[in-house]
Amino acid sequence: MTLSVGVMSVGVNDGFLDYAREAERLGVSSVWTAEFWGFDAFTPLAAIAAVTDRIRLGTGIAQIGARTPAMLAMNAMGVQAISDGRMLLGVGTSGPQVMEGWHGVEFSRPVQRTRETIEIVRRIVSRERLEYDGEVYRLPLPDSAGVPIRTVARVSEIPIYLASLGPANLELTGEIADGWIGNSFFTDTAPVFFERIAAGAEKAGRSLSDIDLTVAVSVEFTDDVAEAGRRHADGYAFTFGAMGSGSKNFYNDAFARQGYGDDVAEVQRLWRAGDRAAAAARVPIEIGLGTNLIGPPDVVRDRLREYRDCGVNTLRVNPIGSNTDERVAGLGQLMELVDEINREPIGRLTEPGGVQS
Amino acid sequence: MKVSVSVGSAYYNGDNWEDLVGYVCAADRIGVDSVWSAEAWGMEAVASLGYLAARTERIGLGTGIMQISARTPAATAMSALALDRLSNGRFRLGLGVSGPQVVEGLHGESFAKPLERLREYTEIVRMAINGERVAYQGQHYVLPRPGGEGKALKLAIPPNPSLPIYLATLGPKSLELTGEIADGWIGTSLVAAHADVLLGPIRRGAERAGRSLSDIDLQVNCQLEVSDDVDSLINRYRPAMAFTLGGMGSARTNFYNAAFTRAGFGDVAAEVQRLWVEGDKAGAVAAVPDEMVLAAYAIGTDDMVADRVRGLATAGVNAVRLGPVGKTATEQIAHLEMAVDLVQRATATAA
Repeated sequence: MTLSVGVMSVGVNDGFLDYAREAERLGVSSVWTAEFWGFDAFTPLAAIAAVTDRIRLGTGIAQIGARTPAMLAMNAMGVQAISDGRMLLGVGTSGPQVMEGWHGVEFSRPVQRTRETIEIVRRIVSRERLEYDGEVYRLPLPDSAGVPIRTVARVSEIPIYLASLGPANLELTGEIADGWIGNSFFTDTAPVFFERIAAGAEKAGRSLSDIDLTVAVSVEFTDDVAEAGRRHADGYAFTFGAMGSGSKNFYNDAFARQGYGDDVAEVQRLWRAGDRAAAAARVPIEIGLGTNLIGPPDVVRDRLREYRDCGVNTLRVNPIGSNTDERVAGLGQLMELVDEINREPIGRLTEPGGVQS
Repeated sequence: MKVSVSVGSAYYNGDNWEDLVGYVCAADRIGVDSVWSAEAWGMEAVASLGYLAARTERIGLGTGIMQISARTPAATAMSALALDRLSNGRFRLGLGVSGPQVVEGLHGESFAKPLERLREYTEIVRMAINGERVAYQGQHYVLPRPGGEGKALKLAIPPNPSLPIYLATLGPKSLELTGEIADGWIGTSLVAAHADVLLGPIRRGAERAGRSLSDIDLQVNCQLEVSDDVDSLINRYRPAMAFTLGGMGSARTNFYNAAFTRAGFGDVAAEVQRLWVEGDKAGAVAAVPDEMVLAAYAIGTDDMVADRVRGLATAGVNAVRLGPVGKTATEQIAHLEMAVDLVQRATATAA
């Protein structure tokens, strides 16, 4: 298992470039940006490319729909061209609130839209003369002055990662993506995700081991596990209560599929009723502890091992700290712990992804 | 008058990116006003500037241009603010409509009503960058999307209402729009002797908005090369002129051709385009007269180029935008130093 880091939580400033540089020095495999309704995901990667040499550069994620599929390809090719081929293109559908509210773009048929977007991106990167006849996208625009275009840009192949939570999107990930970007993930219910990804992979004549399985966690070294676990659990009240719409909250669905349906529904109800304190208190501490690495180094090492054993290939860690130095120190400690684990023989499971065939 | 440079995006296609970075770092040291990226068939304008922001200290960074149909207004605002932050406030957002071949062919978006779309798009980008809650009722853009689940959002990061927006425009109405709503103009095809063909509409738009032409930062593309062998220079640039008149856009919409027509080269522009479209490229090149090449580019002897530069400065141009000239990085940097010196000398005399 390798470690990667996310940088957006650090903020886009001088410190974030230092952090990326230190991560590279420590041997972290990749650095990932994010995209909400602040900065875009590609531009900070371009700046990181200017101060690093080896670390891979990923969008985690770039929103499908915020740009045309061609521009998504072009953004990725831009970073690929200036980074000597270090780009990892992570994409996701975002949600209807952001797509329809902030971008003004219809949020419909997300799985089909994602499939077609990825197919178009691949064709552009491989310099096909672009003609595409999909259910969502048709290129060139029919009955228009548009001509089939072959990009003049020459870049090497760009791995595509897909952020997915629901069964159909997980299968799509297995079928067409090079990697998976996971969250809301518990190691003991890993098959909820991996079985669907494996099913999609098999449809395409591949197996789960062909897909780089990545999961994001926060890390807090502390002796007061109860306090920190409670704090991280409290933070989920916003996710369950405020994210998504009344009818659709992808995170809540993912937690429900892992056995927390009643808890999540109750948190959402309390939040909507305006009692945010009660909503926070109602989030089980197991959710805070089970989706992050919290505790003294021995506990964190055990937790790292759980991720490795269940089949996660790349753990995207966010060491909590009040400044860059503290985060870098946490990252260094994590790299030592993961090195220790990687030297151990793999124990409980032998199949990648933890899916027993 | 100042000098700016454009790096295009040729590095996708074989040019050495590190050499280009070295060129821009030299421009940064020499005191060049700004560096402009470009966007075309499969090449985008943002990544190069994100990289250059981390490697330079003073030089302005501009997109020349980001094509509006390829991203939502919000997505453009997000990239603009990232570049603004990464460069500590050196970023200038250049927007343009591109053309129907690319917009409808590569991006699958309708090219209809580009002028109205550009106005609405720029207004929405400005709202987002200003940190306003983005709710907009336009003819082409409505935010949030009607009937959808979205609600009006505002930026989740600190805004920057002073982030300048430049428009790349050529037609009379879009030039007026530039004068009316933009902070700067990304100009091409400006013939100094006929500057009013393009600057007149910008002035009218500016005055309509209670401003003047001098409130708009006029950045004009202009190849600059000095040699005593003027004939060779003309012959070297003649094919580029023919391509601009005949090969850009489509036979129906070639904004460059139209701009030169308005500047008094109508007969030649039509003939060159006719030959080019018929496939007689050699004939098209041969049909471009010397004086048109000299009018369009700052080429010739030192005196001729200085004269041409003075003409642009007198017309109100704030910066000439040059592309790299020379085979090696060293030659390109030497050329840039020469150009900065020449422009300073020429316009000091004018002042």
